[in-house]
Amino acid sequence: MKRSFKFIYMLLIYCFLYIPIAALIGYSFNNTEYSMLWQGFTTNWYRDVLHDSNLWVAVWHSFYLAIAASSTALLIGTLAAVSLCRYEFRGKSLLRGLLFVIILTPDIVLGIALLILFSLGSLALGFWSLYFAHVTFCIPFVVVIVLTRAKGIDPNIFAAASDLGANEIQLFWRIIVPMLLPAILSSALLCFALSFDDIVISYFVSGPGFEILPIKIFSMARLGVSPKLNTLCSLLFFMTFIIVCFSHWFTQRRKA
Amino acid sequence: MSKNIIELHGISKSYDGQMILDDINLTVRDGEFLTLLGPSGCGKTTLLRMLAGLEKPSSGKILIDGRDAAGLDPQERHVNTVFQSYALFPHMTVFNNVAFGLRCDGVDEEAVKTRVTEMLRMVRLTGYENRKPAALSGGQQQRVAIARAVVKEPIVLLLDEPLSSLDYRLRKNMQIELKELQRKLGIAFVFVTHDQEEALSMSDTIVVLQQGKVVQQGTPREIYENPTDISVATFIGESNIFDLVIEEANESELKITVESISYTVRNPAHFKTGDKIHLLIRPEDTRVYHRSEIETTEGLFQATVTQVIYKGTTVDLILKLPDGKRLSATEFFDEDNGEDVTYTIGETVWISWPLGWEVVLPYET
Repeated sequence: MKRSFKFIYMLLIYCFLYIPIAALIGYSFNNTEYSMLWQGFTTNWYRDVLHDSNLWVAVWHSFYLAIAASSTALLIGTLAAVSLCRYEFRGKSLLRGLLFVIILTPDIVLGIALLILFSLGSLALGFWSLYFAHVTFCIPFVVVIVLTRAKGIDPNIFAAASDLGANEIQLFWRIIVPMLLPAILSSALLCFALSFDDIVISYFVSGPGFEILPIKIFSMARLGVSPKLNTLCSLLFFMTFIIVCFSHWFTQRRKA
Repeated sequence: MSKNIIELHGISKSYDGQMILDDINLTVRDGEFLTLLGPSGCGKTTLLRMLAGLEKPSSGKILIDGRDAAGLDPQERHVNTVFQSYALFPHMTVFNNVAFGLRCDGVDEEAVKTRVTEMLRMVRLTGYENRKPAALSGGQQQRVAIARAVVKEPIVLLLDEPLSSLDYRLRKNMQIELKELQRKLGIAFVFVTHDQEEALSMSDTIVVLQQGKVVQQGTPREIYENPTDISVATFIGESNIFDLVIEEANESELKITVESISYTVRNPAHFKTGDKIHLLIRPEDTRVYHRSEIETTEGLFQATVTQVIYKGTTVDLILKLPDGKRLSATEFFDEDNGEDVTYTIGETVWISWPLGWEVVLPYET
């Protein structure tokens, strides 16, 4: 009795989480332009999506924007986290507090703020404005994740390394970076995801010359949700699914 | 006489106005096993970290091998540390842990391999080269930590309570191993501990630290048998303490009364008539007799047995004096003279100590 209740409870939670996605995938095979009614099975939409070069340009833009922004954020964020952990300086706790402020600030505030900044600096809206915006909102996440991990490390390990003759550079590359690697990798994944699907901030700072996927999808959806959109979103979901499986497999293998 | 490898001159350290170390003067001789002994918070670890170069003194001078250490970074001191938590690099294999220090110095890989292999053989870890620290037992991790520090051929090895997280048996074994290793290497060890037994059994010299000050320095025997201070006496080993007033004193002798019995003991430090003193008798010096074992009770005082603790090699007794004061006594099995060491709780016994084995210290509150 108790066990079956537990099972049903879990089943309900997972239904709640996955029914929308199942519907999305289901409708991506619907053989109709606009109707929400089931008109028969087709794979035409997949063919359509795969041949829509405009769409793939947006995907490609989003992809390399995410790679560029998250690697920059990773570099800056890791260094910031290491200095917050390793060194004592004035205003350290203020600095850490300010990071959380950025994380909690509504995207819309950040979007408008960046837009104002870029127009004051007369930076044309396009790749670079998106790049700077994405780097900005990714850094705090990197710092928080890496710092949490760094603080869990016995400070005597750093003391031992310098006791054994390591200078700061050797300490950083041979001890700190390898020990923080899991945190660095998981923040990389998070940054990529954040950047790849950000719409609110990107909406403010993107320009017509550089179209990215979330904005493209957003504007397509304004004309009505076509199965083509469902198809695209299903493909994105499969991609995510594969990445998650891969990273799970990777961490399991590392442990073994 | 071997030379001084480390000299501390008037070292003080304070944090936020709080004195951690107060005017420490200390020398460590080449090849010596020196122990810094004190309760937690006495500043012993801070002192060690200063020698390692991980902390800077607020004032005073440290000489390492004759050179002023003020300008030397940790990596230039030829002093290496074994940390309390071992602080092994968890992402590296045993081999790479031990090789780390050498590689930082740019030693070529061929020599690294020879020296690390040799070092691992010395600490009996051959065959464990490719394990990660997490896959080792506490004692093995300990030995990796020692190997990692010693492979750099330091002139002094610093050890910060390295045995405190091991269980009793392992700790005993490691004490012997460390002592052997020190003899083999012939370098000075500066060992920090709060365990007096560990300090007594391993050291050539013990430095007793209390509240940031050196209260006594000497061989284990000097420290145990002739403590200069009541705090040292109570910290190291157990003791029965009587607070007394000297009734009569001359340069060589003192007259005192313990439990209404007069004794004349020697005057160790120019005590005068009327001085308040602590009289200290170690449990193992406290003699306990059955009435049947002695002809006369003259010069002995009476006590009641309240607890008998059988320890295998000894019998420990907790005794109560008529005024309610508690004493402890350790009796050894001595099969030659047939002394009876069977006691029952509630039994009345007679107490004495070999005159001259007592310690007389100035009274301190």
